[in-house]
Amino acid sequence: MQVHSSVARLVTFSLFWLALTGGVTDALYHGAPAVLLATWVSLVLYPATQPGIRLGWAVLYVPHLLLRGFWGGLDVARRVLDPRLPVRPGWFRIPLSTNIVEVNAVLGGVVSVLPGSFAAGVRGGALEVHVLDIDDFDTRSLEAEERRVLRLFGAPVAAPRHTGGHRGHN
Amino acid sequence: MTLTDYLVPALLYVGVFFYAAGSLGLLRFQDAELRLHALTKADNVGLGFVALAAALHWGSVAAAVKIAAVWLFALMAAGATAQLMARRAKTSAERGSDE
Repeated sequence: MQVHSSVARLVTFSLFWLALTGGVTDALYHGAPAVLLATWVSLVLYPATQPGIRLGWAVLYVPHLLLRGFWGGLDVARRVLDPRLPVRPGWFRIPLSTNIVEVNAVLGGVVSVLPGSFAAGVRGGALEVHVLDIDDFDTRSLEAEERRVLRLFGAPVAAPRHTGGHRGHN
Repeated sequence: MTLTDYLVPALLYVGVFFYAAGSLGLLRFQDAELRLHALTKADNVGLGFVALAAALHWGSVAAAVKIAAVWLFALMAAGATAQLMARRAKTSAERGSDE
């Protein structure tokens, strides 16, 4: 698994170098040490024993995120351009089903892309989420997103809870 | 005039629209959290459309891959820094200070 992860990083950085230089032959002499150095730094900063993302799932998940991100941008633009400025902001605490730090960090990033929500990190086993419209927000959508992120990491997925988050205030 | 000649400016206009919406949100919204919503979500979509326009304009796979990488890194950096700023804003608000 560790060898697999190291090779995957080496290949990824090589592809980045090829993309940046357009595959020019002269640049490959500089590219080889640069790619090796990048792989080494990556392994020092985030060892291969740490949880990794499954590439197959990532390929499926990214288009979903881009589409949701587009709706998120459109939703904010609609509210900003409305003269009445229709927002009812508030905080939710969404209980997390795993304590895997990497899963929760990625989930925080994902929640911040989705329409109407924004994560402010994990505290006390719950993700703190700021929402644009507290009356129009369904916490179950975030639980579905959490299951997708767990699958992305290949982590065990818990059954849906349907308990809802703890609702905060302004 | 080819289809690309129409598409590139159209995509740029859409991108600028989202950037303008994000900046307007920065001015109209009253607190740090709402401003982060506007700046991250709308601006990321704006950047996406501008990147798409640039990729079409240069029309090569190499340029498109480079631009896609720029967009991807910008999204990742925005997601991470926005979370840190939201955490900071929340902690400050809870302390009752306006740092």
